[in-house]
Amino acid sequence: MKKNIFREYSIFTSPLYRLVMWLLIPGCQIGGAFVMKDNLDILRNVGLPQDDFATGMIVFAILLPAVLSVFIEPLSDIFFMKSVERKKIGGMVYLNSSSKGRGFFESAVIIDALRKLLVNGSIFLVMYFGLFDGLNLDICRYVTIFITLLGFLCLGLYLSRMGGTFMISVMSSLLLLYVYAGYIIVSFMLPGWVDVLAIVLSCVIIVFYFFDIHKKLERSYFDE
Amino acid sequence: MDMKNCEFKNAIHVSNVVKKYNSFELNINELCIPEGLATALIGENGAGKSTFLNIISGTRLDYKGTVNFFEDEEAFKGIGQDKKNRGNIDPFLKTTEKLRERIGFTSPNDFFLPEWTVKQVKDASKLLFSNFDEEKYDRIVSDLDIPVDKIGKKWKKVSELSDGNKMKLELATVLARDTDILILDEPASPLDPLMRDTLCDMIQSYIESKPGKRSVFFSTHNIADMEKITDYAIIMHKGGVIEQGFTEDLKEKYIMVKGDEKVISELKPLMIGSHESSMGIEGLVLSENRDKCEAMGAVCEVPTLTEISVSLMKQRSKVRI
Repeated sequence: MKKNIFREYSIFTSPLYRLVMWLLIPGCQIGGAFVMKDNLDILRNVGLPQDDFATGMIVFAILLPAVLSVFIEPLSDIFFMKSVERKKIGGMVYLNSSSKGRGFFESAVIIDALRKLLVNGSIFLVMYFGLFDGLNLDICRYVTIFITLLGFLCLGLYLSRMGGTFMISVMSSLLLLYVYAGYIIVSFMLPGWVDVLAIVLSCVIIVFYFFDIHKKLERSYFDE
Repeated sequence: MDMKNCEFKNAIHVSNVVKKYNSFELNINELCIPEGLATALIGENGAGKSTFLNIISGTRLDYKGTVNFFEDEEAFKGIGQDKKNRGNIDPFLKTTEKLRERIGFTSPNDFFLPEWTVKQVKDASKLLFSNFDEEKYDRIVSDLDIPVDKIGKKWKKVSELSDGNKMKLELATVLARDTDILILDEPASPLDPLMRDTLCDMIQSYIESKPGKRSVFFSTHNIADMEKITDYAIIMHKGGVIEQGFTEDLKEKYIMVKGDEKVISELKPLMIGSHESSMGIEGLVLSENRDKCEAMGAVCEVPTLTEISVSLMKQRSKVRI
């Protein structure tokens, strides 16, 4: 890993952004989930219902604070990569005049992507051991829901950047939040191959998202 | 043109640079920019000045040709415009690392990320360029009176600065580095008259700080303001160079001629970009025609760089009133 990668990241993010996105929001998400902890004791005694739809509803309800990341992340992105717009990235001339500029920008993108993975992964882990403990939740299904969350996050970020305005970010993120919520609820009713498809699609979206940023950075060296 | 054909020691030597963008084509076969002097790039809007400066600063790579620096010591090579055969641009960036450290480039558009604060500009500069001098930067920022102070607890964002202050900040970042050439795209345009005068002093002292070693290449529409420091001038039109030379040589090559209404028809064919009025005619003429003009009773004067440039541009421009 590059020596200055975190310093480079700090150039692109304000201390407030780092405080909010690394600590405050994840803290609220975990805290919000644990507010429901007491209500889960009854459920823990009887286990998850046999009905797949009801199971989906309960899992969704428990995961709700974590699921909100689908809405929060694209909006917070406005304070991070505001300049990554439709075709290319504005304000790159100074970075491009140095041979380190592009790597510099990519480092920031990578660190923030790691944050998304680490923070949301940690929330899911804490929730699995802290809330779903004793509920006999299928771990494979749980991992699928997490990977799908990352897919939805990347899709939300892509749509938000493509739209370019705050309102479009809000609308697209909200729409994706509903779709993702719907997916969690019905996922327990769907056959196994849908999980595989969801994982594959999510991976494709994640790869496409990073490929798109890479291409946009490259395009800043070209007039097209 | 061979390197030997440059009549002077050159800071930049451009060979066969071609770039097409929609209907526009930049096409420069050979061009030498002298070392240790200030060179002005002049041309009307859309002449290709910014495109050319972006190419020689290494911030645009999609062109054909080579830009050599410092007597062929280092070079930028275009990677062509064929999207399919473009490949990875990383090797181009890595091999030009040293050269990019030696160049200071400013541009009026999209220079800094708009959400950067003035403090982040300094922090970024430290990481981007190993020759960035933090103390010198602070001194220049203070000398140029750039409003960098915190507003309450928040640092001022680049997007909150006026165009003039943005340009001053750009100048501070390049002047705080130990570079060998400054490539400045329209540095004077957003500046007030006082600051334009200061800019001339800054360019002069930059060149004089390492005599014969440091060069400045700038584009400008404010020819009159920048004339006092312009040693060499290049005039562009529609992606090509239409005139170039040392300012003093250009002033010997051309004369400014003023004749009354009786000689309009005789003088006009000799003139480059003439201006007619009820009082008579005025225009640029090649010095070799001085005798003919004087025989007509016309007044011949040494032209300013502005008059030379405007006349040459007027001759070719489609702009008509």
